[in-house]
Amino acid sequence: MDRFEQELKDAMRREPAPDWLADAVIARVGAERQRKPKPEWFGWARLRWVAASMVLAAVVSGVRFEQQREERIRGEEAKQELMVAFQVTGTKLRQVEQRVLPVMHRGQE
Amino acid sequence: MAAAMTDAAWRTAAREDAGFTAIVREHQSMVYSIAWHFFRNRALAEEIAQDVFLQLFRNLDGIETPGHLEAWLRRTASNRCIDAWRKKGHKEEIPMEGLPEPSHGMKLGDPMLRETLRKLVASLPETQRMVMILKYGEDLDPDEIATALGMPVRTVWSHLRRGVGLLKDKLGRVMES
Repeated sequence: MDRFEQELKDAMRREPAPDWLADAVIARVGAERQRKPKPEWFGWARLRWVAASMVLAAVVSGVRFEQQREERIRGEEAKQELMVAFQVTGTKLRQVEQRVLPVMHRGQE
Repeated sequence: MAAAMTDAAWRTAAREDAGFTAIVREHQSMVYSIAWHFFRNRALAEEIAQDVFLQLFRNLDGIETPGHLEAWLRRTASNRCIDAWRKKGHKEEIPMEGLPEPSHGMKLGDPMLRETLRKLVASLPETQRMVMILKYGEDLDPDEIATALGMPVRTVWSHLRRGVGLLKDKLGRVMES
């Protein structure tokens, strides 16, 4: 260490803290100790869990709703097809009846 | 407080009121002095020192030994000073205005020269300034400074070489003017 650095070291000697500094720190620490801790369920971690659960519930409900809607649509389509089939069958039966009845009448005569 | 005490006993004592008060009284000059040399402003140095000890109180569970405590306080004080300086928007060096009038007879050992040197150190860029404070004010070696400031040792050496060179240059200009 040269003379300049020694001079620098002397210049940078520790500056004493004011006498009241420790008391001020202790007072702030005391105030912090007295501060009431918040109930745990207000905590951020708990809040995050609640939010995540709500999002999950919403997603599950949405998926379930969509599945039910698709089932309902498929049911409606099946019902419609059945109705058409009944109509077709009814029409065919009537046509057969119209052909068979005159023949039967002629046979009886 | 640390004398003749096991680490476990020290940890227990540090968490009690009397123990924490003793810690503050023992280390307040170190913390305050780092901030004072950095800002050369009593109010700011007091504010930083109080904040550092309050942060210590909140983090006491993580402090294991007296040596760890001292290093923690030094590191926290240094980083708080640099952060506070940057937050206040100081981006450049402090101008050299406000330096004491040089006297022709100013030479090594002169109190006026020491005051000039303190102001010149405060005019350095913030990181370099803190390196100089930790080296010449706290008597740390470059390895300890590197740990405190979270930088490579070669960067500390570089700051020291340039800092001393800059101070010599500035002092020469002040004495010539």
